[in-house]
Order: sequence, then C-alpha cells, then structure tokens
Amino acid sequence: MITLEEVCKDYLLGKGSLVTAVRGVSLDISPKEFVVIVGRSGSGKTTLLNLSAGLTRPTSGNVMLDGTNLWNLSDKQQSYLRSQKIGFIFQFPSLLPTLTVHENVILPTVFGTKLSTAQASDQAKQLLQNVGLEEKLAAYPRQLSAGQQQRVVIARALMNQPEVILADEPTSNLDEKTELEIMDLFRDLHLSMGITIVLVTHTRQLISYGTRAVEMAEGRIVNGNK
Amino acid sequence: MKKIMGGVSIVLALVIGILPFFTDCLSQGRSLELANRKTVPMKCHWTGIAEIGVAIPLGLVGVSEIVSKRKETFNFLSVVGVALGSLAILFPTFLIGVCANPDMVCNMIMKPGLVLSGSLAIVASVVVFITSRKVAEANL
Amino acid sequence: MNIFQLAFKNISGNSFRSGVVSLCALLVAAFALTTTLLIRGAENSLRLAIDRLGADIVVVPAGSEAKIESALLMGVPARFWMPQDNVNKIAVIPGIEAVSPQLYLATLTGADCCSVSDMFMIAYDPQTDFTIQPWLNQKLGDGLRLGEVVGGSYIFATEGVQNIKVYGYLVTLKANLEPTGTGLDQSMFFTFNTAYDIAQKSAVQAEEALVIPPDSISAVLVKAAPSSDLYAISAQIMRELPEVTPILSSNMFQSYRQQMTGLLKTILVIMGITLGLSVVLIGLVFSMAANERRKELGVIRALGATRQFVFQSLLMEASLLAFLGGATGIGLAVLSVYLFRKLLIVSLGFPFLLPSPAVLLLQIGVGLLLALVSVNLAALFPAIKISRQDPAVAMRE
Repeated sequence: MITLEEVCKDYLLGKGSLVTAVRGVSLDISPKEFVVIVGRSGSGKTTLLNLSAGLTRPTSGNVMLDGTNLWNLSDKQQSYLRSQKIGFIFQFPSLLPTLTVHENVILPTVFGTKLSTAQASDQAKQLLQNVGLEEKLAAYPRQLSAGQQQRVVIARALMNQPEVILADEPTSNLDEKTELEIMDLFRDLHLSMGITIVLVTHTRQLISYGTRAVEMAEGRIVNGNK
Repeated sequence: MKKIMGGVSIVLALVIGILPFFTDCLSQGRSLELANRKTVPMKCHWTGIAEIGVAIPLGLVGVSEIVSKRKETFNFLSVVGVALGSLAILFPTFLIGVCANPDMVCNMIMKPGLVLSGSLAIVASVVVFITSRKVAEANL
Repeated sequence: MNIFQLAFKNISGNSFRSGVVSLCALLVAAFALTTTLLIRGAENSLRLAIDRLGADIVVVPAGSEAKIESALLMGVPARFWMPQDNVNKIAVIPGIEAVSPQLYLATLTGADCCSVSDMFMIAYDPQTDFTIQPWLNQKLGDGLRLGEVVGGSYIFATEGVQNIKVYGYLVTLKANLEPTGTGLDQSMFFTFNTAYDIAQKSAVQAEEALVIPPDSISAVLVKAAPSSDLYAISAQIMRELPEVTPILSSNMFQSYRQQMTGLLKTILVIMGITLGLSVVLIGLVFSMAANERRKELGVIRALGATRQFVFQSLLMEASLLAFLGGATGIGLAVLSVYLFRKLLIVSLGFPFLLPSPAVLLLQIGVGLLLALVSVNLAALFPAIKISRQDPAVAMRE
C-alpha cells in the first residue's frame, strides 16, 4: 500500500539552520492494517505522515503508493492520486470556516470524483449520518464542538472512498471522553470497511486500537515492524 | 454588514433631511410673488419639507438595523427602507417636484442629491435583506 | 461545488478584507469611468455644437471670437455688431456656396418683462438660412411664423401652455431642439422679422427697449462649396473685410479643447497614481490574506487540489472582488455623472453631454477591465507564492 524506502527529510529553519526531522526511515504499510505510530513531540511522526501522503518532498529516499513513486508524478497526477486514494485527518481544526458542514464534506469531490453532484450530496449526507451529525448539515464549523468538528473531518476524509486514512494526532485537542469516542469510530471504520488506517499520536494508550504499533524517536523508528 | 448598512442608512437619512434646506431656492433668497404681492416659497421648498418625513423614519430604520438580531425584523426593515428610498426619489421628481429652470440650485444639486441618496438607501436595504438570510443559518 | 462557488464563499467569509479590495476596485473603476465620461462627454458636446452651427466658417467682428464661443458653449449672451452689407461682400468670394446672417440678442436680467433672465437668443434670416431651416422643415413641415420660436432642449414655456415673454412680447414655443450639452440648449431661435417686431414693441412693452442697430448683423455663417480650400476663403475674407475675423468651425472652441487636453493630462497622472496605490494596497491585503489562509490552503492541497487550482482559486476571488467593486463603482459613477451633469457643466466650465449607449457600454467595459486587471495584477504574486508552497510547510505553525 504505502512504502517508504530510506526516506530522509531536512527542514531549513530561519537563520540558515538545518533540522533533520526524519532520518533514513523505511516503513511498509499493508492494506487493511491499522498502524499506530507513537512518539514524543518532535520525534518526526507528523513529518513521516506528510511524506507518506506526498505533502512534502523527501530530501532523499522514495515514497511509493501502490507501487508508484509519488515524486515521479506531475503535481496534477500526484494530487489526483491523493484525492482518490488518501483521506487525511489533521491535528488542527481543518474545516473551511466559510463552508457549511455539508459543503465541507463534499469538498474533496471538487478535486476529482466519479460521482455526480446529486450522488455526492447524498453520499455526504450518508457519511454525516454515519458519524452521527445528520442534523448539522447546514451548520458552520464555528457552531460545532471540537469533537463534532473532528467527526465532520472524518466524514470528509471518507468522501472519495479512499484506500487509506492518514490521521495526524486526531484526538490531541479533545477531552478524554470525546477522544475515546473518536477512536471507537476509527476502530469501527477499520473493522466494517476494511480501510487502512495510519494514525499518529503521542498517547501510548491508543496503541491498543491498532493492529500494529510503530515507535519513533529523533526521526527514526526505534520499535515496531518495518 | 447589516450594521454597516444601518450606519449608511443613518447617514443617508441625514443627507435627505438636511440637503434640501441648503439647496432649495428659498435658501438662495428666491421665492414666488403672488398677485396679491405676498411671497411664498417655491415648490422645491415643499419637497424639502416632505423629505423630512422620509428622513426621520429612514434614520430609525438605520438605528434598528444596527441593534436588531432577528431575521424577521431585518426583512421588515428592508421593505420599509426600500419604500422610504423610493419616496425620497419620487418627491423631487414626480410627487411634488422642483423648479423647472435647469440653472436653479434645486435642479442642479437638490434633486440629483435626493435621487442619489434615495437610490443608495434602496441598495442598502436590499443588501440588508440578502445578508439577513445568514442570520437564519446562524440561529440553527 | 465548483471553483467559482468556493471563491464566492471565501470572499463572503471575510467582509473586512473583501470590503477593502472591493473598495479599491470601486475607486479605480469609478475614477476611470468618470474621467473618460467627462472628456468624451465634452468632446461629444463640442462636436454637436459645431454640427448645430452647420457652417464651415463663422464670420464675426474682430475681437469677438471669445464672446461667440462663450455664447455657443455656455449660453452666455453675446452682443456685437457689424454692417449688414458684409453679407453681400462675403457672398461674392469664390468657393462660397451660401451665406446667412444672424443676430445675437439677450433677454434682460431680472426684469419682469422677460420671463427668463439672460437668455441668449439667435435670430436668423429664413430666406438664406441653412442651419435651423432644414431642421424646421423636417420637424414642423414649415418655417417659423412671426412670433414663433424654437428653443434648445432646456427651454420651456413659462407663460401658459406655450408662451414665453421676452421684452413684454409673448412668443410661442413651437418645438425644442435635441440636446447638445452646450449653451445652445438654453438658447432660443427665431426669425429676423420676429426680432425686429420684438425690438419695435419693446419700446412700449418692456422695462428697457431691445436695441438692434439699423443695418447691422452679429455674424455671417458661411457654407463653402465642396472641396474648396477653407483657409484660402478665410484669407480672402480677411483681405476684403479687415475688421472681421473668420473662424473655421473645425478651429472653433480651440481654447476649450486646449483646456480639456491639459485637464486630461492631469487626470491621467492622477489616475496612474490612484491605480498604482490601489495595486500596492490590494497586493498587501492579498499577501496578508494568503498568509492567514496558509493552513487552509495547505489543507485543500492535502485533499487533492493542484497548485494550479489554488492559484486559480485565489485569482478567481480577486476577480470576483474586482467585478463586484468595479460594477458598484461604475454604477455610482454613471448615476452621479448623469444626475449632476448640470452642476458639472457649471463647475468645470465646459460643456457635457452623455455619450450614446454604445459608447457608454464600451467605456463601462474599459472601466471594468481596468478594475479586473489591477486587482488580478495585485493578487498575482501572493497567489503564485502560496500555490507553490509545500503543503506540509504551509500547515505548520
């Protein structure tokens, strides 16, 4: 599914200093896995996730999605692949504030879909029903709680029926109760839809939700299968 | 946006109410002399008086648009605003009128000023009506 | 949902920022349209006034050139005289097809016997006239009789349904000419016979008599034969009659044209400065907006948007704001110029007439285009910069 081969990522910070976020990481993620990547802040887990989605170019190494090297593709091809195969869930509130809940969920179809407008609308409503927010179609993000917003993000991530969900600390802004609700949702999605999930977190207790755990520290995988 | 349009309506109300008193023929020292030698103001003066009847309610509409929150109130205020703006235009053009001579100040400044202010008052009310639809969504 | 709908939602999401950009576009479009309207309106007006004259050359007493221009352009009454015999002397000059004399008169100022003060009046000879007469024949099927007048577009009856009082004499307004935007719109035309009748009766009826010196005229209108040399004819007129000045209609209003050219240059400089400042301000606003929305744009890249989509989306927002602001500015400009056209004529001191709908539409198109180009130019650099940014970097704090 996703293969990272000896990827490194350096960032150039202000004043010319170089920071290596990921050092020579190789990781293979197979279909239908639920991989939980844990590590402290600054361990490089978010960067690893971004590399996996093609959101940042590796300084060295290869990133393969279903056997295709992402960085051999044009921006147009890469973006299309991303829209069709990957659903992304962010750490920060990522709903567009000027769009309603319904419009936010439909948004991925703007960048590529096989669905008609009516089909997309119906699917969005269905997804919102699945996450328990069917009554909030016309609401704006500012009218929702943090937990509700994250549910909408999950629905949005599923809109184009992706093969893999990449979730970057999706529960870090949530209280404990809501965190567990969201994690239960991920588990249900994995079990019912067979969707591959790669979830990044600093909370070790969430490891039990996954089928495999990977631990990162200082830009390297220190524990867990490659 | 509704508050801004409310402020605009208040400014326009002031213009509609005050402009005629500085730009009608009476303010320039001109009036009509009747057969009995009595002088009376020309009709542009009466247009100015009528415009006070437009300006005061328009000012109140503006104040209400600033303080209101309910969609139904905005709908009502918009309709009233459009009606008042229309009256501001109709008084100097059809209902009462101004002096016929194009060189007179009431024709050069007062009438066009009132027509422009009335038009802008109508536009402001329409904008309030359109943007008040978002109030309903916010109250979900 | 498409890129247009997304752009529209984004601009309605931040009223202040959108308002600033729209306001800049409004100012650019309104200023551009107002200035071009005024310049074209003045040109339009001058052209119509010259057409209304109908003459290739206007011969006036030497030193009266400025007076006749003021009279024709701004309706400021002019009074000057020359011997009537000049008509015959001019008529025999080779290359001249027709000549017709005119008398220039004016109503009294603030007198009860004149229902309009300081009105410029033009008396013509119906036997030889080639300017008013053709129009009268077409419009009324007949010439003007004694006591009948034709008015410019602003002339209206003040005494009853059809009459105007001049020097205590009631004249009947038969028709109004089309507007020219010049002083001719506030002028009255009648025959020599009516003029002499008014003058004769004014001794008794008016507060002050209308005096027309015997055997005198004010001007001679000259129509040249086709393809004759107007300069040669003018030179010949000056040789025959040294006390007159022949004015070519194409050279008429030269001082006003120079005034307008000077004004145009000043306006172009101001417009250039306004445009430059607007582009800078809009560029700053868009840079700020792009920076604030950096994460949001990173998110839509992560959802599958291409760099091109982000770039086009930002320019679409710019275009929408430019169009909204520009259209509003244009609407305001057209409405204001139309409503206050009389005040503009008086304040600026030169004539104005709104151009034809086709020309107006073209000018509106240019104004809108200017607003679109300036806003998009300003948004270009921030749009390029943000669309090329690494999505992961964009989403970082």
